[in-house]
Amino acid sequence: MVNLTLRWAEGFMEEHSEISVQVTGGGSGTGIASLINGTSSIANISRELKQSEINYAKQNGVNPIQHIVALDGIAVIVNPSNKIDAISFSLLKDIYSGKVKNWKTINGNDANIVLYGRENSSGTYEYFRQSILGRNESGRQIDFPSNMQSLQGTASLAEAVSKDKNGIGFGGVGYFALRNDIKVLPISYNNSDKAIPPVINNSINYDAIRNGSYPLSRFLYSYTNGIPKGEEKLYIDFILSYKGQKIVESMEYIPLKKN
Amino acid sequence: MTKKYHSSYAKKRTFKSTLVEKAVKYFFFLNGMISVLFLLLIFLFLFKEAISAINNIGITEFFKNIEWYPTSENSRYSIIPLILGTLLTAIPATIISSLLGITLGIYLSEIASGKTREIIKPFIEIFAGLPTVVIGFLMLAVGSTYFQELFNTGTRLNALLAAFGLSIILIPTISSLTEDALRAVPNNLRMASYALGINKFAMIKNVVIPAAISGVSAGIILGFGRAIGETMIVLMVSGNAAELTLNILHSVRTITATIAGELGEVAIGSPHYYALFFIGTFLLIITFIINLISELIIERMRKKLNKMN
Repeated sequence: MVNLTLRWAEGFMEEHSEISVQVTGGGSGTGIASLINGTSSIANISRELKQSEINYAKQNGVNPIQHIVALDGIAVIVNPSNKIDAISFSLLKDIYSGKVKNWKTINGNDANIVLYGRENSSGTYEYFRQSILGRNESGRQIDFPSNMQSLQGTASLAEAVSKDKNGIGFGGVGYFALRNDIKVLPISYNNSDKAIPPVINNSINYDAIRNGSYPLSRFLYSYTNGIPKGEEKLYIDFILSYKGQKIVESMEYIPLKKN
Repeated sequence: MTKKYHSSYAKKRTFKSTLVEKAVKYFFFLNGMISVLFLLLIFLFLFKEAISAINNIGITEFFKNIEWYPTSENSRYSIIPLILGTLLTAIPATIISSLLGITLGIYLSEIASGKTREIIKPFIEIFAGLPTVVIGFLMLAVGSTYFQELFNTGTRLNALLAAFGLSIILIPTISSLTEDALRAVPNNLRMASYALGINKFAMIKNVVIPAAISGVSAGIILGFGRAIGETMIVLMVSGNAAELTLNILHSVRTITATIAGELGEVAIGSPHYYALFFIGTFLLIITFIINLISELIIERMRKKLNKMN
């Protein structure tokens, strides 16, 4: 999300040359920490704040206000040599909970599935666990198997899957759309549904992600301390404006509305 | 003669130069003290956060379980798979680099001619100065595919690959400490053995190495400490799966990679955040002990060899 933020800052400063915006990356935790200790005015993060973080902020006299600023499609990728061409939620759950261990079980090659994921503190990891793995019958959260490899970024995950013919991974669709060395799988919510591709001919399937027929997407957020005023309000307004949302599209994320 | 020089020099000393000398002296003293102070502050900060972890999570949680799932609702904070992961990369790396590093050290100290040494040493120094991220990148981009074909591993990124990467940075450490240890062996030992009529290799094997063995082992221990503390290479090529395994061809997660990978996005003030500080403090204590042991061994050897001289 840091690249998107950088482009927003550039676009904003073109319109308001009197205001200077500085952008620092480092992950959602870094963003929240800097909002709480006052070193930044706005924190852009890819997940909602946790209750513990809101409590911690309030203890420090910071009142985080959430703004939804963009949409991100989460895609599942495999190596181009993989025989699988589409996947359903229940199959994904079986694979990512460690129940299905061999591609043969789901009509692929006879080879062990190598799971790739993201760091356990990343927003993508959390989102995927919630929406794919969910809970078991007794209401306990299901975890990824311990042999899932965690990669530090979606770009390196794409790189790993492109080189591993038995690999499977997930991440923001923007990182995958333009690559031809990986296969982005169409996903169906139920086994009987038609699987919807998040990417068609190297371009993102915006409509399907926005209207929810592609079932895996999440919001991206900006957090401010209190209701934004002055420069901060101008900035949030810019992000949500036509221009700001055009930048969202150019960075391979999904604009909130159809432009 | 020297006495005369000193007295005339002393006369020339002015008040100003004394002052400058004093200022310089205190400046250096201050620099020394600052590093000590920083070290103490780091210890203090880490211990403070680690104690919060113990209060929040409980020390038994770190050792009784066997899983590291800090962000699960049903969170588990076992350091055991991380310790195993660390050892599974550090021990093979130390073995590989000891074999190569000690041989190299012996060669440089006992066998190589002055000229060869002058050519080889700068290369080793360059090796020692290679940024670890460069080594990690090379292993990731080139090494991983190559080693996967060579060893037929299921996962491309695994502990063995990380061990190979680590040994690149350990070899210079171990070889230069071996060379230092061998050079510290007094020359009269070598001469005496020649006088007894044994050849060079028997002399190295039976006289020089036994005399320097504690220095060499200190080098190995120091290398091991470095392997445990190395972050970038293992983060990039160990595969980062906190799996409880003893299989060197599986992906593993080391303590250092856990901290580097998870601290960026962790929720501040959460048990997970404090848990990362706890495992960091754990690592600090371990490496501190390892460094202390190797320092003690080196010191003991120096004393022993001084007696021989």
